[in-house]
Amino acid sequence: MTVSEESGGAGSPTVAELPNDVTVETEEGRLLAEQLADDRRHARKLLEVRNLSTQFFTREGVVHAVDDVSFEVEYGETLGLVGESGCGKSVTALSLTRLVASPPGKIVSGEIIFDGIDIMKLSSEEMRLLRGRKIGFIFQDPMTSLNPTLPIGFQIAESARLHLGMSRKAADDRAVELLAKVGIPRARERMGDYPHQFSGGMRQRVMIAIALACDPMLLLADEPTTALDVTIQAQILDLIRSLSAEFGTAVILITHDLGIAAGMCNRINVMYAGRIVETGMVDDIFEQPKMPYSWGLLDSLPRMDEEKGSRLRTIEGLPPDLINPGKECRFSPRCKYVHDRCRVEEPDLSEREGEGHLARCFGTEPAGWIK
Amino acid sequence: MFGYIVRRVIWIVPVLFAVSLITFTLMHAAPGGPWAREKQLSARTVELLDQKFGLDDPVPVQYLRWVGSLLIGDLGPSYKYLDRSVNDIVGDGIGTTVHLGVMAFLLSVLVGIPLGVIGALRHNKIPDYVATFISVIGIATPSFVAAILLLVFFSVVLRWFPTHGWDGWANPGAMVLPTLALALFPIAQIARFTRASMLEVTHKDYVRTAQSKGLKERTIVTIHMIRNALIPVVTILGPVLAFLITGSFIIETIFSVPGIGRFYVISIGARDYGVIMAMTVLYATVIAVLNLVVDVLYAYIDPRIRYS
Amino acid sequence: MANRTGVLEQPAAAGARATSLWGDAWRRLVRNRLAVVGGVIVLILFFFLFFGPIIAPYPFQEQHLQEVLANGNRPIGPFQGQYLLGTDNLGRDLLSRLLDGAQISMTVALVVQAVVLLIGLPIGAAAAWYGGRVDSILMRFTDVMYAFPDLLFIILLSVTFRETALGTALNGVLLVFIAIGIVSWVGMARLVRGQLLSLKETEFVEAARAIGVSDFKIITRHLLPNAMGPMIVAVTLGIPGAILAEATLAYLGIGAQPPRASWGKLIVDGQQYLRSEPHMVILPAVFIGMALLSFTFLGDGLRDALDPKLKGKQ
Repeated sequence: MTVSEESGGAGSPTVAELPNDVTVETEEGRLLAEQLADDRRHARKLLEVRNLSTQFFTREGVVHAVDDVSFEVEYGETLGLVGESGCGKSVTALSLTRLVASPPGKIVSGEIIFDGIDIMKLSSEEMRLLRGRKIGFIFQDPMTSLNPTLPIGFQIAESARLHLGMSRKAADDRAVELLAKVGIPRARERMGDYPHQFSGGMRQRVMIAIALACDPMLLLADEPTTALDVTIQAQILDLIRSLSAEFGTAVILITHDLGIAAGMCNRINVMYAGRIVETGMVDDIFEQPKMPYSWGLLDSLPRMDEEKGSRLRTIEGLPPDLINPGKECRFSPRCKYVHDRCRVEEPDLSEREGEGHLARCFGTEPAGWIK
Repeated sequence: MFGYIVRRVIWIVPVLFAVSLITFTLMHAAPGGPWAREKQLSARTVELLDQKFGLDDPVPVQYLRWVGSLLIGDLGPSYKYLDRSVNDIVGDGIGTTVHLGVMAFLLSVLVGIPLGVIGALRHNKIPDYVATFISVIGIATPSFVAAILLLVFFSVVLRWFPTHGWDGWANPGAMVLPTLALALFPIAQIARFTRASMLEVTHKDYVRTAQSKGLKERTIVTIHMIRNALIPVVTILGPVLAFLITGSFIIETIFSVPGIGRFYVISIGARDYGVIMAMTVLYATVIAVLNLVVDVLYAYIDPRIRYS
Repeated sequence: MANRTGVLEQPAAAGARATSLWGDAWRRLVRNRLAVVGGVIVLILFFFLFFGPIIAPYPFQEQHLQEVLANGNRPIGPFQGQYLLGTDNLGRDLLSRLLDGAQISMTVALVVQAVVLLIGLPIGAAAAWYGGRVDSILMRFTDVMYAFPDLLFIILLSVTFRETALGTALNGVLLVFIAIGIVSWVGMARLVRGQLLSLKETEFVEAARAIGVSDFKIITRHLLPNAMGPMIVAVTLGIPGAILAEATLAYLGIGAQPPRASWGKLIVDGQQYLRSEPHMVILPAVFIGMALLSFTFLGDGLRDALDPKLKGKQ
């Protein structure tokens, strides 16, 4: 086994550095080689998305739901995909596992590299094997996302039996273990219960258990708390956070609520009209956002120190029609700081202060007019 | 659940009373009386016959007497076949009718459901068109038309099957056409319904969840989709069974199947009130029981429903 | 973080078309090709209903025995001369008879549904609105009616009254209407009841009551229009059943008496000639099939078009 020199990370040994009497045929050698592979891995990203475009071909025209989106996710980190309804965040997540309903949807271009694997080049059988095993999904509405005619224990154990080859008993045990972990009391007794016998929050916990059944490397959580009561929301988010920390699972958290993203994520991508309009570490986004849409989002969060009885602030207007996006900045019709240039040309993502902080706005560029 | 079943069973009783009352009233309201024949019987003969069968008693008395005998299982005399009781006639034919009905039912379900499932899964492709085509034919063709066409085409022209001579398993060839003719419409209805239901299920969120788990398509269809899709289909099984019962009248007539359906039709024409009344109540009982079975089945397969 | 309020400018162009429930439904309906075909055939059938006797080439009961005898005592086949679709064994023009049958079937369809609405609607509405005893009585009644297989009861009724004044009116057709109607109204009553029950608890009804609108007005102005959709669908989908029942009765010799030419009767007449002159059976069968299918497809299309759950879905 050869190790190429491009392995990064300070202090990771290469084969060339292995002691002479250690070969990979020995136990020691094998462990060392594993360690090398591991270290090498951490030099690359868990997920690299480049120029992803997903479109829907409808009677009214071609909807550019996801338009040239690129981002990365590190192993174990939590990334937020934030934006209002219809901005393309859910479609992005579905595209990652090629679950976009096709027809009428189609991933028309782009690269998705997951754990070094080129997703777009996989056969549908290979893709299927990845789903559930390496990538778990939590959907928004636990009421409709669980099969009403199957016991929850079965629905959890299914993945384990399929992907991990567990026997029925072993898979059931694992399901009980997971149920307990997600906080369902009397887990073993409730294995045979049906979804309608649980409350909304409990059902979402079951969904989390299903998603984590095979210990995936990446968890896609699509608005996991939107359908739940506010009091339960916090519990579910805490659960996701603690479990992902415990198992080292990376999470892409999709939400329209910046407040939620703030509490959970390491980094945030703000999406608008199918594009990423700002990205950066969570602190940077909150402390020095550089895109008028982000300001609007932050502004719309109600604050404790506000005058009681004052109106909630909104971003006026509606998101644009994604069928024929023009060449201008997509936010320009709603932007208070709009200039002529914004109406004819779309800005690229350019750097701002802060590690990995990019924003798509002419006005906030160093030479721009917004200070 | 048990309480529900008991309540339903108890409820059947007053319903049957109502049915018997209505039937009885109708029969007695009809002009002509049970003794009308091609040859007019003499008034004296009619009087004697009336006395013999208690038809000269006041109507309410007759009714009570009749209900009383029903309750002990005596279906009464036939007014046309004076030497046979309804029990005899029914006893002779009921096995055959049930046999035909069960076979037609099995055929409808075993053909209709797969047709609907395949049509939905291969939506707008060739198998869907075939399934839809069969459904369309089934709906467009009244059972008597289907029976006649099948009879002439397969029996008279092709001579593959006999035109009559039902004898159960002793003559399997004779069972084919009647069963097919009777099952055609139910197959169509079940297929259509199943297809619509499957198509709806395809769009459900839990199917997407199943896909996100990386399950094989076959698993998703058989374990996740079908059982949800079949739940609404169970609700039309009641009407299907009712159809099989009334359909048996025509089919038995056309194919000369010696069942009670055929006798019923003949009795109606001949104004054999004894047979008509008794068999109407019999049919109503059967249908009520079958409906109950279907309802229980429905609760059984849908875990969300538990009758208190 | 500086306090940036009001990042907004003028609102973006909305771009949504104004829609109404019926407009939406109509658009969805006409996109459904099967439903459109069904609708066209239904219109043709209505045309036959009103103008059938006028466009029929011959009176339907007129016999042309000489031609039949000249044809070797056999019915004349279609496309062979002056009888477009041939004749039956008594030399009666089949096309004219088929048109008469169309008139019968369509009349059955309409009259039965009218009866169903006239009886079922008020009863169902009353049961839903007043609840309590009225409702219980209705429910028990429907249980009894459901226990009777439809066809059985229709046959019973028809046979019972066959020789009364009622039975012979309009050549026996009136009896058929009534019999089928009596059996069918129960379904409509239950449907109306179900629809109104769910609407009854809504807030706008509470509001109307609070203002003092009369019960009758609430039911007719507010509740029923909302229930119209499912009712229209039920009426349309109930027609094939009525047509089928009528044809079956005619086949059994009940209902429309000769010389009127119900399609079912035409099939009975044609049975014995099925091998030599199949047109006598095939043509009525085709007409029946077309009638059944057209109403079924139209009804399906209406149901899909009016289903509010489909709003917004492709």
